[in-house]
Amino acid sequence: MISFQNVRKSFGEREILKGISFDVPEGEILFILGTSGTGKSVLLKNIVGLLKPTSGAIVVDGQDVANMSEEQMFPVRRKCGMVFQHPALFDSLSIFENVAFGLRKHQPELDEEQVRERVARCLNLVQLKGVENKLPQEISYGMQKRASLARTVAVNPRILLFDEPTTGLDPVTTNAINQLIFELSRKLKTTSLVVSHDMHCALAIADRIIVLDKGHIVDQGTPDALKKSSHPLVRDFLKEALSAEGS
Amino acid sequence: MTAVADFSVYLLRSLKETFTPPYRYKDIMSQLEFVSWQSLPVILFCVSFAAIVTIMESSFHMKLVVQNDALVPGFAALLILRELGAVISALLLTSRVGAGLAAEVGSMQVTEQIDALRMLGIDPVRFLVVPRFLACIAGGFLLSLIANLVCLYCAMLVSELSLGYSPGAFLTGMRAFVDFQDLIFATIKGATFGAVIPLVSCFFGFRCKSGAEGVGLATTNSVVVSSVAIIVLDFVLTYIFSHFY
Repeated sequence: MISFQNVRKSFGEREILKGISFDVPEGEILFILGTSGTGKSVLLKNIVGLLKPTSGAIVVDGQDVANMSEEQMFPVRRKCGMVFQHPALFDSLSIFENVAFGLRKHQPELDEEQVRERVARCLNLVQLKGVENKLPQEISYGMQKRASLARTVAVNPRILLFDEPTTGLDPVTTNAINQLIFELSRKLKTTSLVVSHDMHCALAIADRIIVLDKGHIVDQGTPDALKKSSHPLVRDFLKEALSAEGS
Repeated sequence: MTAVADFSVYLLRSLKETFTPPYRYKDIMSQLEFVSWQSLPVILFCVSFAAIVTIMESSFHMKLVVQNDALVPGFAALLILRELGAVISALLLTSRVGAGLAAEVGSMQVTEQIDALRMLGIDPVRFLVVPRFLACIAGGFLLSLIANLVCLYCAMLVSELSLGYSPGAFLTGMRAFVDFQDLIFATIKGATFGAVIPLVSCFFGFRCKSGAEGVGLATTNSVVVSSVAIIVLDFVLTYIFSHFY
């Protein structure tokens, strides 16, 4: 369970999040939609302490993480996996080493054979085969994104955070990634928060959708409830999604 | 002021992590190879020319002012050991290694690799700064030692070929002005300057703003600040060492 309680976040004079409150029950797939620069990624990074809120509380499994030190955050981060906007794979390591990296850190009891097996399973899960020995720069951007997803799920996180997982990808790969998010969330029974501006995808796989604008939540609800929203921004998103469906 | 406060916190963290085992020896050795072995050719090439210029200019001006350049070997050796060898090596190391580190860490920052490390429970300071810090201290020490010896050799060669001093005369003149402790102090300077480079470069890398411009700015700032820090530290160390003569 994740709970945001009146969370504010400023960078200097500029306030990005202006008193955000919402809860995410366990096992839910929550989409956070909004235009660029509305604080979606900032919101996600606050959950795992990569950024600290200016005020308010963020409760993850009963612990307020807002004021935790870097060391105190480690067990919280251990429960979470994050897929970043960039693939964020380590340039100097092969795809295999990238996926095995977190495993070796978090599960030192695994022997080399078990690590190899787990990495193969994770790469299989994201439909990546035969790239184990390649460096990230030797495979396509879409494949890098999928490898990043494999690295994230390799450590069995209970909470999955996706920061615009399909940005910069072609429609086919976008659909594949979205399907993957849905399947992973259901298969691994994780709580998933997906930051996106893809309403089409949100309507298809989200349990609930939150729409952010200028640091505020302007609307939220199930996909069906949101389809009836009268908020102009939500209507714009819906129009875009319907035109995508039509084409 | 915020940057100074941030740097102080980062410096203390880096030092704390440096003195906390275990160490990733493989990583330290590969960094040491990058810092010292790969920098050696360019540093030796440049310091050799600096030594040649130093001895020739000293001779020219001494002849002009006192009509005699008999003290040139001693003065040149003094200048090389106390300043030239260590400082020029460090400044070259800054432009080669420091710029590379700032760009590398900066790119990792903007492509969220640093955040990915933190998410995997790995401290970026421990993972990135510590091996580079230790490698640069050792590399700075070794490069300063080798650069000074090569500088002296070049000065000796030029004094023989161009100024007419035999190697024996050069070494005798040199011994009158410099001592073994000068070489020790030069290597201490080299190690200290070496320590500055990764600390400053990684700091600017961590603070890198997104985009190519951000990485460029981080790189430029790291080279400028490292160079200034080296010059200031050179003054401080020279002042401290002057109490030992």
